[in-house]
Amino acid sequence: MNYFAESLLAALQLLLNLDADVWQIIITSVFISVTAALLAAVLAVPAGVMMAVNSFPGKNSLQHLLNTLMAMPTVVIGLLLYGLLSRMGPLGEWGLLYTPTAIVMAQAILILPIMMNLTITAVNGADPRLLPTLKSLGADRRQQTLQIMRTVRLAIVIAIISGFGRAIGEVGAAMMLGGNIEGYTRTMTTAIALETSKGEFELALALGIVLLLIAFLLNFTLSALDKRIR
Amino acid sequence: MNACYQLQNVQMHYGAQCVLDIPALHIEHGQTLAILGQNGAGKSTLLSLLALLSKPSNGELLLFTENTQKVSRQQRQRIGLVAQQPYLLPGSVRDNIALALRCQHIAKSEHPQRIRQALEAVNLTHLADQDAATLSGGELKRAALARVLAYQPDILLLDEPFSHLDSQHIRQLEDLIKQLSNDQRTVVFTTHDRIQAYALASQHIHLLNGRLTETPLLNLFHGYFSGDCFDTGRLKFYANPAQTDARHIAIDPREIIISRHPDKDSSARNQLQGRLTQIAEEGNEVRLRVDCGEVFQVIISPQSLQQLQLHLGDILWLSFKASAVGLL
Repeated sequence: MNYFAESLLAALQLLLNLDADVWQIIITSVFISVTAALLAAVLAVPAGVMMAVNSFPGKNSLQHLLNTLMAMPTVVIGLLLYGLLSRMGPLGEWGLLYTPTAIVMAQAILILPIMMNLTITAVNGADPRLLPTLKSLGADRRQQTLQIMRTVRLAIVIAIISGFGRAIGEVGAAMMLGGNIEGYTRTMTTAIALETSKGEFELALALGIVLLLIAFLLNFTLSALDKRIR
Repeated sequence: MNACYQLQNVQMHYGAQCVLDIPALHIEHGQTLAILGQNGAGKSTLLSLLALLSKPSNGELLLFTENTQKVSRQQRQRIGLVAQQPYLLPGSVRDNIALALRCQHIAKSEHPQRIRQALEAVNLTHLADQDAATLSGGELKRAALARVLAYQPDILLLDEPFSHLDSQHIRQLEDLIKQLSNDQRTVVFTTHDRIQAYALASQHIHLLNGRLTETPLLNLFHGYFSGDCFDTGRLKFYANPAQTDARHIAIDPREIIISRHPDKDSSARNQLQGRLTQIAEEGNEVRLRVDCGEVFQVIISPQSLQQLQLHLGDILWLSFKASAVGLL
């Protein structure tokens, strides 16, 4: 118990003293996950709206696929991207393995189905008269999509934040594709995994506290937004 | 005059159920058409087809002689629909009208004037900047109408436009419909109110279970044939048993003869006794309601009213021929 209490104290000191190493890791982590969340949002939100409002052959199968992908283990995404990005792989020439870009790609792929599904749910939950009204007013596809996104914007923000939350807590793909290079691809989760195995419990605990704080902040924001929707 | 809508063998199915079946319907441009029918008769479904929001399961719908299989922007611009329970997007009334104008690609310089005129037409200028979510039912309806009027469509489709409106705004809307008709716009509206329909519209159609009927839907009863009688559960009517699968009958209120005593010599096979519960003057006619177990509406002339010296509560005999019973 003494060991844990002492480590906790040391971790808090690291945070309060604004330790440069700790902050470097936090900033890298947040930067990568924010980029991944925005990248995924740009693709997933319009795609989710389009999928929700249109009927097309194979829509049900696509929905099943999305549901399956939501439960995809991060190490599998890491494995697939590793195969593509490694020197021997088809995209090896890009030289992206062990770069932040590779982690961004993995995280974006991981959260894309989550954001898309949440967007679809948001649009399906909107007033059923919304789309017929827009159509009858003569709105084209682009105007329809924009107006629907505007109407369910809070739910879309919730989808993006949820995606970010999933991305920043992810460890498998970040480890396999980022390589945990100090000052470059070391994120909070990979650092926690490494430092714990090295026995540097204080640093891991400090980062763990930050991750928990971020999770708390995200949940707080989400529930506040959720209340506004209701 | 040219044809605004032409419908040929149009059917609409929801699953196995046929909710609309219209062999032929022509609506001339510039005409005001009233669609009458009870709840669930298919009025809104028909209006949604005319608004090109849904496609018929079978048959052909032409808009100004053009095919509507693939709806063009130009075709949409000619139609303005106000739904029974209109939806306004988040924002003010003005925002909603501006959105419609943007969707219709109307030059931004024209927006202020068009918005002002549309709001004036429905008497809603004072609520231009009010949040649409805070409007009352009637205001919402008028705002939705303004949103459509602003882009000046050739055709106005109004689903139950008079519901939720107070008497002042009903009169205003009636005037507006007359004015639109004078401006050579086509107006199609659905209603339950026959009198309003006949007062406003030059053409009327009646829908029953998704089918067009010739008979005005007064004295409409549900039941089934047993032998050569149609049984409503309360009363039995002699009817022409040509169509024994009929589930509804309608009796023309002008075909019913009123008397103080049963007429034994009459060729009218249906003779019913009932109590007079209402006398109302409508234009040059008198409308009576007589309760014979089922409530009947009977239309007679003012002269007949005088001759018979009718009073509320009188016991009367209604007689009509089997051929006056329309099968639906």
